[in-house]
Amino acid sequence: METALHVGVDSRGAIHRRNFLRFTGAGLASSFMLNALNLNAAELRKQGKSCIMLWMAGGPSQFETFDPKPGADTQGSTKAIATSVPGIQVADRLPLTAKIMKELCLIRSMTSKEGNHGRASYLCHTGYPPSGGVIHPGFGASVTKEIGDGDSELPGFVSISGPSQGPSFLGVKYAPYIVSDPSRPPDNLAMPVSAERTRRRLAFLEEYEGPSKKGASGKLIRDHRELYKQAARMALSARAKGFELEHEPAKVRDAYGRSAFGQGCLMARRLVEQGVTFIEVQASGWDTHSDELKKLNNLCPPVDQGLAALVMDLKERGLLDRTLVVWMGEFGRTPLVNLTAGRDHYPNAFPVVMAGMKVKKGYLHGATDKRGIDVTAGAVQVPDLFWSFCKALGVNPERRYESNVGRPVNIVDKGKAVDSLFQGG
Amino acid sequence: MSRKRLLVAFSLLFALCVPLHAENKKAPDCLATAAKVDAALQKVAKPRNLRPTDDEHFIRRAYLDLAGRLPRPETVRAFVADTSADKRTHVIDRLLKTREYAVNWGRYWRDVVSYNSLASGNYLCWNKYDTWWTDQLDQNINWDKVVTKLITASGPADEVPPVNYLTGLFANPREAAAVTSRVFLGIQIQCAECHNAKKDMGIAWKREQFHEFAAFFGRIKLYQCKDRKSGPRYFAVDPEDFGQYKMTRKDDPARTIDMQPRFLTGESVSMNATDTERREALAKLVTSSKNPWFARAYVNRMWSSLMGWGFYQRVDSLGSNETPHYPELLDMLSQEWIASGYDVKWLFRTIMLTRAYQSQLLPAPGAEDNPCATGCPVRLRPEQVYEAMQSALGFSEKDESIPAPAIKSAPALQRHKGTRNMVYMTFKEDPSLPQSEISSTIPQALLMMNSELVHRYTSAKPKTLLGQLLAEGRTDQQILNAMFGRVLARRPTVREVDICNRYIAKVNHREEALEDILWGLVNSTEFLIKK
Repeated sequence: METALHVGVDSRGAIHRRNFLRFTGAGLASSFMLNALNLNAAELRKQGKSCIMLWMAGGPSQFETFDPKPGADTQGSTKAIATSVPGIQVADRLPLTAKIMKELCLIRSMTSKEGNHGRASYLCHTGYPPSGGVIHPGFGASVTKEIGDGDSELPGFVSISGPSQGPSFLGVKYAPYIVSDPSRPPDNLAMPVSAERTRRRLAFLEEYEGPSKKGASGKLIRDHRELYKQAARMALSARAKGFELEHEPAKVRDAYGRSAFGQGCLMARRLVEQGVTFIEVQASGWDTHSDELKKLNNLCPPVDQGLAALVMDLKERGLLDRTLVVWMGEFGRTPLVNLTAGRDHYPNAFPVVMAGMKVKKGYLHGATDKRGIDVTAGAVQVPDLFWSFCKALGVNPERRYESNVGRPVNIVDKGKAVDSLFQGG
Repeated sequence: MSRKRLLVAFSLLFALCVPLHAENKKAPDCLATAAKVDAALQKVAKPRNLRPTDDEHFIRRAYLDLAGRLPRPETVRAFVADTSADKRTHVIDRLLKTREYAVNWGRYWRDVVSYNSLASGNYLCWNKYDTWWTDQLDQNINWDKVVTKLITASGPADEVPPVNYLTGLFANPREAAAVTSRVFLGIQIQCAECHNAKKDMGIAWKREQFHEFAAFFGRIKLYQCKDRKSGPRYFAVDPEDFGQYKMTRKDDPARTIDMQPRFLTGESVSMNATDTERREALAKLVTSSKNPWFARAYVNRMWSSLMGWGFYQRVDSLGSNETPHYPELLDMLSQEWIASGYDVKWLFRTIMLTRAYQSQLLPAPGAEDNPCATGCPVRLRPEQVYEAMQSALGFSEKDESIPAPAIKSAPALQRHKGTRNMVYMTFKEDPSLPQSEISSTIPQALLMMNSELVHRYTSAKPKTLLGQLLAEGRTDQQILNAMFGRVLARRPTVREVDICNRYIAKVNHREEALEDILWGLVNSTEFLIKK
């Protein structure tokens, strides 16, 4: 029975070839377990769940977003405003988000030890601190593998305006498809010649390479042709309109805001409708070591508008019950303002926002002290947060896959889901 | 002059003209070692009778392996027409002298050591690091000296380029130990960072051993050069003379143990040793011919790159319980390489002179099979793809009118601009991964199928390859020969000419059909692989 847990299973329930060769002879017991795994996988995929991660690259200041400390010496000049939830205030820079707070679940008590961008970003994309050796798959890749539709014409994992974290040993099928600029169609998806001529060219290529499939390069050619079929399928697919914002009425595009972030959120909603499993939308520039307030004047409005529009649009379209929305950065910023009117990295206490699925609405978890120095209640480590994401999405955080260093690795590092974030918990 | 004197004079002249290799005088003769390699393979690997690859395939393979680009059609034609017996050796020797060779392999090594780096621009001075790597290869600095420089460097990242090895790892002793053992010894010891490695995963490294290794890097000081008046404030590494590297106790994580620097083969230095003493000692131990890994790891890696299969399945599984294929051959070649003084060009030359390298390729071995006595097809590295596209399609790297949208990526990989950046970012891959773990991606396929770059330069426009051929009034056969020559560095086969002619007839629009065929060649698997 022990060996069955180590078997890597792909989206169709087929065993990874390498693992099969390692564990040959495990017998009836493991095939029973495999059938159980297959069923579970099929069930999960029918539910069509999605996750949208709104990634604030650089580490947004909690004082000027979700954890203002009015009256404290650490707050600076930004004021706090009431939200649609009595008892919860946010910075006045997020007025639209304040109005929809009753749909959101706010965690103020995130805490981590990683204060370096690369390391903290890795932690917040994989659920693991970096360690020299194993390259952990991005959470988006793991989720897509677990609950994505393996037959979809579109990639199951899309990253908008940023690179996200790759699939590592899970394989290239779960690599994030990257859209560099949501205001224009993805690079190279549009065919430069007619669909008919494209098909004709592909048929020529098929005939031209046909006989070589039996030669020394045979496997490479077969894989290449298969990849081209997938790429062509995507380029020619009706679902590819998920990437095309011109189908949306102007007032919808305006509601999200005509910023890169706003339009990225709109594209994320469209991709959820087309069955994409995990979408990350990045907003950069939050690393405000200097002139913070001036920079926030430009940073906050697009994010405020995009986040609020996305959550309400998903709700109105009946998609919020099967979509988990997350707003987070790699850390927060220092309570003390530095000599260049900025704040520096602060992983000690920072906020994360969740919405959708069975996450509690209008809920505040955890607290920080009066000046925003330390977490005083409900501390949540990053792996615990990822365990909570897994709970929402129906993913097993302890599911193991064979890694690139020959030992099995769980989807998320050791942790515990925060049950109080969920309805009934 | 008497005949005897003529003979003496001629021999002297000949001796002076023989090209000197940057080799240790006692270095084994490349051809002799190559013959030993072939004999060893004949004993253990199949097939017994290898078929030599034809000239066209050989020169493309050699150019890609050494210079990282395609040979020009005229070079291929001249090579095929050349009747001298040792023309293949001359190509290898000529390519080894080029700066292109140094740039190509400099890129490889820079990617190997920094591909997974999370460091940003202040920690890594890309340009100087790139140039340093290129220079090491250009000057054929022996590998033990290169690795010694990387381990022992101190100073700011922009003033002492090899320091970027450590600053790229944030000078973290555990990261430095993990990368040093993985890349230069082929051993993954980092599993033992947290617990004793399980016996069934290989040599049972103990947790203490990992941390004793890390202790060699335990007195490095990393700091930012804040006194710079202009330009980026790079990070620097300085030797410290105090402090001890600590390992947390397993039974009580709040307490730590000071670790003595000790190498995997048992040699140690005193805990009073300064940073300089520690790192110099480590460099000697890592590069020593007495440890069973340094030479074998390098030979295994270079062999895998050139032949498409490795003695070990991964370049970093020398510390596992995996039995390598053909271990005696790996050991013999490693010993000869040590005898050459760890001469980098010597090993390229030796492997490429074997019949095994110069034979027709066979399919890659399955996970449980023994590799064949010849090479197998391998995907091109991203910069090789770009060079191939440039020579095939004839566009200029400096042409800013070509749209070059590229994905953003971790700063450690942000090294190019324009179309080179676009292709690199789309095709990038960790060069240490075995071929079996690398697959092509949809964005790669979409770039080759639909990008403006490929579309523009496969079209019959005035300044493009096809445009020029048509303007010159060439026949279909001439155009096909030219396109195959430029894109695939060979002539089309009879069968291929037939397929193309039938396609031209079917489409019934000559220009469009030829554009489609050129597009097809650039989108073929062959264009993206070494075969």
